[in-house]
Amino acid sequence: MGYAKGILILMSINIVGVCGVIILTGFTGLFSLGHAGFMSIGAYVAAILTKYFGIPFLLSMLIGGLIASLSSLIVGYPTLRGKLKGDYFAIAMMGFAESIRLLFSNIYPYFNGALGLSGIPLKMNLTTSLIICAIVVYFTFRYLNSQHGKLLISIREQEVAAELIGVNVTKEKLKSLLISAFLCGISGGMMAFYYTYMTPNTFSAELSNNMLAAVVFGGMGSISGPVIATIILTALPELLRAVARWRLVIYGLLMIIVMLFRPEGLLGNKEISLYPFIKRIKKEKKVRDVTIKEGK
Amino acid sequence: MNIFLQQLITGLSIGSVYALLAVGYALIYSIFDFTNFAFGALMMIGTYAAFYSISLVNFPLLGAIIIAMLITAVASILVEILAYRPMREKKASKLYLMITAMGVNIFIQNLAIQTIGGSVKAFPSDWAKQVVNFGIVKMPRSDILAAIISLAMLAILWFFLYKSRLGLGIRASAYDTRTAGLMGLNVNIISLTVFAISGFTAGLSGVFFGMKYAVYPAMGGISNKAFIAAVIGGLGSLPGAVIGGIALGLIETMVSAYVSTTFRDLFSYATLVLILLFLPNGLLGKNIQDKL
Amino acid sequence: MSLLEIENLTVEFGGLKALSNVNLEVNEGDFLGLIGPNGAGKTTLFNAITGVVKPSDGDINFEGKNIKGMRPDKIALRGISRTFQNIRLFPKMKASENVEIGIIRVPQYSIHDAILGLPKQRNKDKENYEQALRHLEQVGILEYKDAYAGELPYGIQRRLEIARAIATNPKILFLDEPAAGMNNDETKDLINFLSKLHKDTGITIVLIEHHLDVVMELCKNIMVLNLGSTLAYGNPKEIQSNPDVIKAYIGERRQKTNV
Repeated sequence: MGYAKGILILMSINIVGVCGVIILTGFTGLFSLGHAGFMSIGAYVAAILTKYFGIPFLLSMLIGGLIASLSSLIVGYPTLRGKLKGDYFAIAMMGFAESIRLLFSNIYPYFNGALGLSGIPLKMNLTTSLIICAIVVYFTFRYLNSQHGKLLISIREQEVAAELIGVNVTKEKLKSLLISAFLCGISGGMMAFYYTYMTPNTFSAELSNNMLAAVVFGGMGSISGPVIATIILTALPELLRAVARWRLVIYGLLMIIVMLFRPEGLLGNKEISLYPFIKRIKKEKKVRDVTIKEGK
Repeated sequence: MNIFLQQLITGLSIGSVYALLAVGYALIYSIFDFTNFAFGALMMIGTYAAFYSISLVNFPLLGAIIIAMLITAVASILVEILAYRPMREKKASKLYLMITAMGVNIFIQNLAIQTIGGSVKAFPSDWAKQVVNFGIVKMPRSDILAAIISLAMLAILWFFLYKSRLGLGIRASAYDTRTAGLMGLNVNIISLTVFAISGFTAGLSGVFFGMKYAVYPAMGGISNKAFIAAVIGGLGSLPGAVIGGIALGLIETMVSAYVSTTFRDLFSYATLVLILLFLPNGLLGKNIQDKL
Repeated sequence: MSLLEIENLTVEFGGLKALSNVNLEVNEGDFLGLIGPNGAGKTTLFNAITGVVKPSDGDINFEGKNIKGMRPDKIALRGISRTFQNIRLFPKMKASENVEIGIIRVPQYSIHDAILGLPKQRNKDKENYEQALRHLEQVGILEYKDAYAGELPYGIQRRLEIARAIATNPKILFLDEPAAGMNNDETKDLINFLSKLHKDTGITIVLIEHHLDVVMELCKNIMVLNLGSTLAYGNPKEIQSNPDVIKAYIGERRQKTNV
């Protein structure tokens, strides 16, 4: 049972991070390969605050998320203003994540350099992680289904037109980056309090690639799609050891195939909703009622 | 003074390799308007091609370099034909092209890790490791070779792109893909040539990075430097890529010598952010407007 | 005071003058046609006014305020709206959502309103949706409200773009070749629609169009651009009999037959 529990906790941690990538890549259309950098910042800040300063872990995670969010301005401000193309942002994000890894590997007080932090208090149990995950998914859903989300999609779809209609493209992009980095920071914090041990290499490019894969497979412009993809991608390598080794080879190949043959992924621009089910059940009930009446 | 001179020459050597790599990247960017994130993986393929042709078949170094260039060019063309061209024909958005490129990168790199192992190997050429003493400065043969061949390759590329008919067509399509068509050049031939050239530069610089550092599947990460160099010079500008590459090489060696080797890469990234803040179009970049 | 006043506007691209010393006055309620051979600088003029390109010289005054060099979104918020020569819709959004973006532009409620799902959000969203439907009806494409913009037929896309532009409630509307690629019937529909729109709302319209008959029929005044400068300005009759205009147009036709 402990094993299944572990997988569920990992799923919730990954979903929280993926929600960040959904906002930025799936809806705003900004390509990022450096979200592991935000997770790293969130994880280190949260772990240090709780381990050395005894701050309650939820508060530390929140602070970690906020600092990750602020740090995103280092990349976001120079690359998202003006008419710089998305390539600049993607390249700078890669550099950012790599810089964070280098930096944390060489800070010794509190960070303990490349050896990383160990003995972080274990705080992430199943209930806590599920609750945080549920809150984050709900938050993401409400945000992206409001007019804020619609503005982001318009920017992804046709930036010039959005700007000439009067949408402040830079501001909306920066807002979505701040929120995205915040969520990844929270996900990093959860990771720290679950693993209780981490090094700067825990937050490698592989982690960013995993999150990107979930969003691509699940479908751009969808929330439920990537969430389902995350659940599958987290469970599969745990259940099938053979898959684990070749996982990234398959992800890479699948990414190309999805883009070539089914760019909308599992559920591009759509959501799985319970509404049609409810409607059908109601209808069936009505039909049954009617037949019962007629039968009378 | 001697130390400075030594660093200056080392910086120019590594800078010329960066310049070569940046040109290969910028060429594709300037014509197809997307970042080929598979560039690093292609570079790695070239390095391994040279590595195995020396260690398994006992090829001479120059032969290995040529093999590396050819194999990388073929790989580059295959990626173009199998992945990028179908995407362009579907008029896929730029975001999707970048994701495809990243998929190619993840696929090739991890396939290499699973098949040949992730271990770090030394480049198998003793000749290259020998240090030549010029009196005031000392340089390993690999650095001299890298500088000479990279600069020669850049000269050949310049000649091709600026003096030949096909080269003119390629540069014309960087401004407007229709112009090349008007010149009677087949767009597919242009794209194959561009990806072949880009493959040559990746394979060649891969060998030099292999000699200077080591050979390992994740070495494609070095291509980030090419991206940075291209941004410093101005994305899409070929002379800019050369200047950006050499500038980056100099910055890195100077930082390694006078500040700290550990933080060398951090300075490269900081340079990137500073350039984006104060010179977003780079040193030579043109401000390209989206056509309305 | 005129609504839009352009003085000595010059736009250069790499040393070449796309527009030189263009002067123009548009009054409230005008319906102005902008014609000229290919490469005359018509779209460049639109781009300069809407902030897409930075003029190298001159002034653009809108309601007495100089808007030259302002960010495009700020210019749009002042009440300038446009459509594009090559359609620029949001392809993976529904037709109604495309129009909604034109209504929203700047978020009308905060992110925490959205997260908490306060009535403020629900009412605003509903209001916008209903207004979007009204605009779709106005341009006669209400039946397509739930279709994705990218999947609509060409003529409908053109109309949708106009609906989105109108939704911003502009003081002046710039239409860049709205009849391009339309067949005769569609063009006729468009002419009727535009003249009705102009009559009903009194909105100021500037129209670039290659079909001269469209311009002659709709516009009160016409400006002719050639090689980046004003060639002529006047009402349709004056323009039709202007020898310079005839020369420029016949010249273009000759070039075309040569190619």
